[in-house]
Amino acid sequence: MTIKNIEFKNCILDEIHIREKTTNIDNTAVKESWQLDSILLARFLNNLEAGNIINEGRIITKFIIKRRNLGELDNITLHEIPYESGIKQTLEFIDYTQSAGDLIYSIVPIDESGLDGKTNEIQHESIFTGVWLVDKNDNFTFGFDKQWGGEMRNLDIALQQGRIEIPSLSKYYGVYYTPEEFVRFSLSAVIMPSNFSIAEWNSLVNKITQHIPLIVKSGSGDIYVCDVYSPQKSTWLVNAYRKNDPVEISVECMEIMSVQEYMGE
Amino acid sequence: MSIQKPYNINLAGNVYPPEEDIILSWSISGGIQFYKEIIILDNSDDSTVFTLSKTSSFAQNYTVPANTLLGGKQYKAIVQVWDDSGNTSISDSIIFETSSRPIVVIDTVPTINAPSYTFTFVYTQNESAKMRSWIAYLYNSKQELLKNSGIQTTLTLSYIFDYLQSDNNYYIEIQATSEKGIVGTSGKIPFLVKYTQPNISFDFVAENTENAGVKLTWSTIQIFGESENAFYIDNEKIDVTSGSVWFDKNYVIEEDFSMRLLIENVPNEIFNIIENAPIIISATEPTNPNSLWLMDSDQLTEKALTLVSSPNTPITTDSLWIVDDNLTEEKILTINVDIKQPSGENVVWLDISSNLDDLTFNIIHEDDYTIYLRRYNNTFYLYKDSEIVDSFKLTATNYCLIIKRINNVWSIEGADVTP
Repeated sequence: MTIKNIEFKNCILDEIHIREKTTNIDNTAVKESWQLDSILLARFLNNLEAGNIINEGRIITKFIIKRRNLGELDNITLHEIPYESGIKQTLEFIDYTQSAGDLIYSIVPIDESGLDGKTNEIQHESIFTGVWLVDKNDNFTFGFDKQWGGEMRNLDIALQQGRIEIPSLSKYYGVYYTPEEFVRFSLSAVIMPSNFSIAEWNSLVNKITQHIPLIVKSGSGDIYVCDVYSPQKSTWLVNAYRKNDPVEISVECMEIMSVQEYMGE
Repeated sequence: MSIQKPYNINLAGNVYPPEEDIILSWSISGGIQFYKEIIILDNSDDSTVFTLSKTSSFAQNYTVPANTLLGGKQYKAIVQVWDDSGNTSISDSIIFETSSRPIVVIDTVPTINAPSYTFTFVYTQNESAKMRSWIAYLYNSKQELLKNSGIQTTLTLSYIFDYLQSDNNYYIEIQATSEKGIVGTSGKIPFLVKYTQPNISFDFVAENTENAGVKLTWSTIQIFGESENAFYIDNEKIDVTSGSVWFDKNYVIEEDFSMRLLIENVPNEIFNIIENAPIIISATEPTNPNSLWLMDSDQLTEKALTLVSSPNTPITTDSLWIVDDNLTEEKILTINVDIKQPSGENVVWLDISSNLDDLTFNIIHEDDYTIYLRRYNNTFYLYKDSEIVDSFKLTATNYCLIIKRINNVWSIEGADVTP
């Protein structure tokens, strides 16, 4: 029952819309937009494109995904996804490098000559709890997002400043500041092993010992790029359940670059 | 101790735009200032260009009025003060410069119809002092700073701001610094961005994941048609009156579907459906235009024939005989000239549909039958191969037609629409 060719002649065409729906079809002159059940929608806006993405007749070869914070103008390029024109595809991408808060994601189609097509945007509020380590290179994530029942565990972030006090001949010391300004803090959380706590500990240690910058982001909206070091773990001395005992893990974090610099590398 | 000579005169070594007030200030020690006098000299020839005569004043400053001095020159300033005992001291002469504030003019910005724009500007300075650097600033509609170009030293006086959002007002400002260190500004120039929004309608979804990520999902299909001898009208319609357009790639129709067409100028063949058409044999064309003419050059006068079907030579005189061995007796037939098969018995159908105007559309089905549309006598006829499966009458020139296939049954409906 497959249809393979539809041809039109001897008329002037304004719009053709083929869809799976067969009831309550509008019979007025109102132009339609692509629907979930649409199969083909040709609008003849100076081109013969009839899919759900119009690129002025240019074949799309990939999509570029970008992100910016709501209210800002500069985008960060996150990823490229190849696209095969002519095949209906469901494309997916997961961003782990974002902060909590209101974000604008953009999808830009790129044609064969590398030319940007028109952007499609969506506004989204990123919500998560706890503090997460992220490596943008392999999408490694590690969550510091659990605490003991009834506990109110804090995250104390200190801003380190290059502050110098110099005694002077006057009544007061002279206070001077160097450009140095970064945060330093400790992270600790309870890890509930889903399988076996050693695996999770090892994954964290393996990542930390690479000595690469990692994103450290919190559900309150803070986001830093840090050197993460000195991992420690604390387990119960008398383990009753080898695979189920919780582990408390802590690390030290020191900010070493801006997020823009990290994402632009 | 008497009043000492004024020191810490602020103008020393600095550059000031002469078209603005210049504030001269100093410090004193050893006494209280009761009087002051100021002299400004042209440093090139020590000629006096400005004098504030001895004036009673405690203020250790004075504002030289705008446009008192000329631009692009070096001057010397001397301050003399007196205490209440008449003791006086004169400052060292301090050297300062004047240089007019640069004039920065941004080229007229139209309504911007794209997400990015190259802003250009012109720099001038009255004494031809060269430009040292410049910065472009972009503000939102509330004049809050969005971004800047950073310090630019290029002599190409242009900068591109991108990611401008449609239907938004912005402000652009260029600040340029002359080689004398004086900054001129264009002021904040408003502009509007307005461009057609992208015609993309795929379902773009974002959702939070359990491990603090954001998952983006979208489905997309790009379909291209082809055409021949077609041209666009007003960038929104295609005229295939003398050509065609077809779609034969990148989509699949397998189950029930509907096809909604906004269509116009479909040819409408008007003809008479002739029932019981007379058969005339004659040498010349018969007088009745609706008759079937058998030409016989020997038949000088018109003669009407009767269409007869029988196994043997018919009894009916003046007949046109169709041999049919299956009959047992003679049968009189009538002829209908029509595009669709007539009902009833003893009727012969003269199908003229293939002689009429060409198809409006055809759909080639996998089972190798063709669905096509013709319009005659103000009626749209939907054909499946040679069989009319449905029809719908519309009389205007612009239509919305809806063709459906449901459980392999084809149908057509529609409505006249106002263009």
